[in-house]
Amino acid sequence: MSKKNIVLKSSNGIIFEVEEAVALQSETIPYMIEDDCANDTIPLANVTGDILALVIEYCKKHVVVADGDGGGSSSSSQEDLKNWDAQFMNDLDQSKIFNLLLAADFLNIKTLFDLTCQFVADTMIKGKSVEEVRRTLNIEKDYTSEEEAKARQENEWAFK
Amino acid sequence: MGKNRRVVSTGKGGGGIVSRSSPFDSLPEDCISNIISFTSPREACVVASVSKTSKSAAKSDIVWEKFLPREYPSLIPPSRVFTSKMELYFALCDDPVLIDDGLKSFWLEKASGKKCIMLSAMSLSVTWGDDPRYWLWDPSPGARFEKVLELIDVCWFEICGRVNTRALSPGTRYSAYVVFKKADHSYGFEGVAIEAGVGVVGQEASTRFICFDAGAGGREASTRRRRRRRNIVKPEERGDGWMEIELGGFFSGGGVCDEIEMSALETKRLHWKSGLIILGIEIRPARIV
Repeated sequence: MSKKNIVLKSSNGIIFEVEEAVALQSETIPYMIEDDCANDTIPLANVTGDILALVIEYCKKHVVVADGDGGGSSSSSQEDLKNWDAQFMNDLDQSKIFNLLLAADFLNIKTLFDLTCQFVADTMIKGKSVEEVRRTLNIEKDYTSEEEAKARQENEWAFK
Repeated sequence: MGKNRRVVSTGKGGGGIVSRSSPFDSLPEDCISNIISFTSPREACVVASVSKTSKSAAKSDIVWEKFLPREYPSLIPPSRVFTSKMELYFALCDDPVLIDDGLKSFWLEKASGKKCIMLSAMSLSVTWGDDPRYWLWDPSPGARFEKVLELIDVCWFEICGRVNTRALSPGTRYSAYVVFKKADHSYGFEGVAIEAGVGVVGQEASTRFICFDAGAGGREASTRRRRRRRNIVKPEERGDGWMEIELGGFFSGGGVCDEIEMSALETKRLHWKSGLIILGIEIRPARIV
């Protein structure tokens, strides 16, 4: 049984060779193959090498579990995968998390995109006040005091 | 000073996020909306006050589609047109819709988007409920159902309703409340303990005592009786002209669907009781204490 490999090239020129099944978790890559936008290698102009390495690590893990001889959907392996996902996200700093989110969006890997969005929501937004969210995400207040008061007033119930 | 530097895509090495700027600056608005969709309706409204970008992202249909129950298209009368999913969401919170041929009413809890249901008196099983000597169906202009049930006179007081957790949000602790009013002339309920039960059909229900008319009384009551009365759940004003008493709670799990039965029962003293108007039984997420 011959397994086809696919070669991916990051924006900074780093080459990754992965099994087709790993790469095909991205819904964008098949179009790139079809479009023949590369002869042998698929250039990913929006993804740097360190982020692409993370994407591939995630996809490899998930393809293995999906294959896992019939037990792929068993609850224990699902549980293991969840724990692995949590650990995977926990090890990343904020800038990596957001770059990974962008890469998952660009490559259209739904589960990774949801995982990163959920992680950002859980760790940077949930249970936080407006000021805490601004601080956590380094968001500059672009409201005037009046506009902010108005925005708060529109959603007054949410602050009770 | 303190100005955010926006990320400029530099072709080859582009797409990186430079520290010191906000990570939100380099995200397409749809991505921010997707992140917000993993919070809750309440948090989405808090995030809307963070910045202009977050406000715009928090209003997106991407966010509110996720907060709406999957079956929402079937709940909205075709005559109603909404300009956004957010508007539709708040309509479902503020204006309950009638479902099951007007026998039940459905709405969403604003902060969480969890499903709430009120079973009308018409969908309850009421002992002697079909006999106008004992119970009377009153038209109820202004109330959410076509008819309410007025207690004329009974000894055997028994009302009971059922809900399937399939119709509710999974992974949620719910409370059930009987919603009622006292009629002008009411007797037989003052200080009387009524047994309330909530539980899965076919299993033992958890029970408690409730009192429709906590009254002032009890001056002559013994300390022991007063102490016992302290554990009796009393009615509370709802702010819509009706009163409610919590009958009990249950958990709406994920995978399994349970048929939940909720009841209020006085069949021990069997004295005459009169003058209660029943709107229905309301089921909504339990308050987190």
